[in-house]
Amino acid sequence: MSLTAAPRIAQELAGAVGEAYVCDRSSELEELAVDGVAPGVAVSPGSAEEVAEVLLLASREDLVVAPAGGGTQLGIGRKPGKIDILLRTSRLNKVEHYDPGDLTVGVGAGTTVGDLRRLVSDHRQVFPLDVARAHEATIGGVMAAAAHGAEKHGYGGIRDFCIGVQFVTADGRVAKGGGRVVKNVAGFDLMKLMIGSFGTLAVIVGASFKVFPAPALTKTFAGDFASLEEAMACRDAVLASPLSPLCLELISPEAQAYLSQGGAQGRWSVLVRAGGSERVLARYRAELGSRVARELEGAEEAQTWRAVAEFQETVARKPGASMVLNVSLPIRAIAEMVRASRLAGESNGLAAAAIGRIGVGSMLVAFISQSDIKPEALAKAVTFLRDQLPHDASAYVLHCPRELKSRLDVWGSSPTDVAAMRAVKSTLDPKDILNRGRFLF
Amino acid sequence: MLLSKLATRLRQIVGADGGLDRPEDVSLYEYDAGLAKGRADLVVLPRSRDEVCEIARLASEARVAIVPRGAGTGLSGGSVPRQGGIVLVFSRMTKILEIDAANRRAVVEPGVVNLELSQAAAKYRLYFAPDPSSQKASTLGGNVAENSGGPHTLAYGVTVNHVTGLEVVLASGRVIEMGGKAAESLGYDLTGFFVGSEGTLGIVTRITVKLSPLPELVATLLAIFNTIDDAANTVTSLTAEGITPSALEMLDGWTLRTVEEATHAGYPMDSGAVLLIELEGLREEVAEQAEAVAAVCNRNRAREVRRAKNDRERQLLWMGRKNAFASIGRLSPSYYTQDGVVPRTRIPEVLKFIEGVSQKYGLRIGNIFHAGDGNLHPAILFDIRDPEQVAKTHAAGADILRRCVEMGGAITGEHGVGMEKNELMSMMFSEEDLEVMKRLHDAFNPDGVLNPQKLFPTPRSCREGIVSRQPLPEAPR
Repeated sequence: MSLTAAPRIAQELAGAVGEAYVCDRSSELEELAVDGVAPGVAVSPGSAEEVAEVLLLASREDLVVAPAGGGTQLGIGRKPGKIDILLRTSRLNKVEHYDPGDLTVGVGAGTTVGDLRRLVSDHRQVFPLDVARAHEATIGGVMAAAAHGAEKHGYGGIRDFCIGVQFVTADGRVAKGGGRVVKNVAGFDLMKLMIGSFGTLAVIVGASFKVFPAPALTKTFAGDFASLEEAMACRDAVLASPLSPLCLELISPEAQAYLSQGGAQGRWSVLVRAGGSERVLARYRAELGSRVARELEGAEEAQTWRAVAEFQETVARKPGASMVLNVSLPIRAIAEMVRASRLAGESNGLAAAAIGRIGVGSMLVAFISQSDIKPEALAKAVTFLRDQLPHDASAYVLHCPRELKSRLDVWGSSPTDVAAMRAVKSTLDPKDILNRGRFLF
Repeated sequence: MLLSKLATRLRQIVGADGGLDRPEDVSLYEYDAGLAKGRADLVVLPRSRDEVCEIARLASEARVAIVPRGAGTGLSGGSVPRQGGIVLVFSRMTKILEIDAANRRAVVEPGVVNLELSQAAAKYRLYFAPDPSSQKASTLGGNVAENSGGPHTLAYGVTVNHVTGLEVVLASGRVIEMGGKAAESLGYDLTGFFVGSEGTLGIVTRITVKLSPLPELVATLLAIFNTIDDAANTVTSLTAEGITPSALEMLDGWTLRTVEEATHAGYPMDSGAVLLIELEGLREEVAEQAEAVAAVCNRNRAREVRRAKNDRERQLLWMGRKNAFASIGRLSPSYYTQDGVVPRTRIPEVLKFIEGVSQKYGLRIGNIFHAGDGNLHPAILFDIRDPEQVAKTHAAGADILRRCVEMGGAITGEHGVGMEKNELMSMMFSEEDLEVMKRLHDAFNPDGVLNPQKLFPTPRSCREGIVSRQPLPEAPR
């Protein structure tokens, strides 16, 4: 928006949401910058209707809007050309319904994952999304980014347990899909469209979910192996067994350094997290047999899984250039992908660390510069890795040095028809005001 | 293009035996397993995706409707033509293209029968989890269109939770790919969006599905109650206590007697209700859950909790459940099955409401349903030859669904909206909600050639005409 228009827009926004919820002080806006691009104004609507007013204004004035929750994943995507309005969902944080007896919960999009996990854990239930920075990450944000954690192995992804969504389209329509019961096929499944749309189709204002009973006890059985092949053989043994663990995670030797796991340094670890009674845990121990090097429980177990969840953040915070990729692929292609990532690292002078859900094919790969290497090496590594992947796999950047974004395709390819995706985008956001230029196409 | 000319062109594409237009042939495709009825002008049986593309292109040019159809086992009229045109039948696209056991995926043509896929995958100790009662006949293309469920969706989810990729032919004849074998793909989840779109967005020509590992042990329990209240309260207690059966079905006394007379499944003739409870997993888990289930049942005054001793007994109990509607069909000239959903804590309350509806209209209503996820299937018995009963049946059905929605539930849990409940969509969705869905529909199917007049309420201006053309229900059952 032009400088001359800014005061007028801020005033109109204040009219829509209240003056206290509009921020146009440049010092604060600098702090809210995405990839170094500060928003023209930040606004915090208090209801779906207020979100609609903001979006109608933006539509009318052709202003670019970036929806924002806790800001933990705003760096994903191309560098924004501009952000006129940062639309913050923090005030949309009410619990709309929670019926422990029904195992369902509905919350505003600005509710943090941490708060929701705490709410249901008081009733011995689980909201199974153990993402990084859970105390900041919001429900709207993790839906938009289709974020996942280790619990995806046992409970599925957010697309599997989200049962309803409320959103506002770019042209100001307050609408919903699904509902609040666990089974419902009425109407189009708009939850699926919103999940993984990275804030480009609508502003998510609320959602309902299935939650799950907490297991009586949990224990993590860790196998530590000298080679990737042995680790994958362990994975195969678990998949071929009758066990159905909550988590099944691989940690590469390079990734161990970011988890500070005692005793496993330099090894390939497979973590099998089991839930159930003592008898059930004993059965896990018996089935896994000599593959188990360590058994983790209590605080030590919780700490390990916390570290797994925070892996991408830990990498990003270390000094030096680094990149973290989200790699989604068929499970049989994982070993080859991990080998390719190490080769990509080696040939570009980078360390390559891999961690992830080897039973369902949701992995994270980090390339880390050991010395003063130019960021181009990171770009070469990701290009090399993508070339080795099957056509229906994808590898997109969760984190990279800002200056690299102009020289790197942060998304890579999608197996899904681009023209069809564009048709959806132009239906819900005809003027392309939501996260303009940041997504895949 | 004249219809006769179109028929000639279509026969050139699919071969002489792939195009049917004689009334006696076409009439076989007038129904599904519900009450809807409608006659096509042509029935076309494609053999390949490329043929589907050509058919779509020609039909779009001629503005002739295409209604895709699998086995016709649907219950909401999804595959029944509402305004003539072409019924596109997938009985010649029935190949399992690949079973990729290592990746736990299968790639299939849309005409593959649900149960046949599970049978083909069994040698790898894998199966396809969604198990609609029609699974011996219903096709995966139909399951995808309707986002079908079944008893075991309580634990494993509906069809959309088991589909990772689709190849779709749009109305224009363009082929689009979405997803693949990876569990999730970068980009909009069009796969998830197309599943359950009831043939209104595109024609599915290839499906990539997840295969799930068979459990180590399955135990099937039959809990017998003197009253339906006790059974309903048991369902609520089981959920609240965090016990997670893989299936939790309820039959009321009248229904189970009807089933028992027809199938001799071993249901007690004198009880008020039974719960059919299935537990799956490790031996240890099943043993513990079985104890916990029995304790909850007994606390809710179960008369008896039986456990199937062997696979034969287990199959028999399930045969009774899966053939329940067929058994009801032996007694009544017609029945109308609802598919409403309520939050599970409201089951006792909604059952009382249904009893009231039954008394209000003087119609017998049998209750048989997926209790574990609150998905009701009340079957309203009526005589199709009696117009007054037909009207009352409709009113009773609408009363029940309205109550489900008021309780925070849904008008359909697994059967789909189709032409049966499209006018009821506004009970659940606002005009804005429906407008968003309609715009998305128009982005893919702008001329409404694909499965027209389904899923969405008829615009007010056209409603009169259509209702008078297509009175519902009119199919004798």
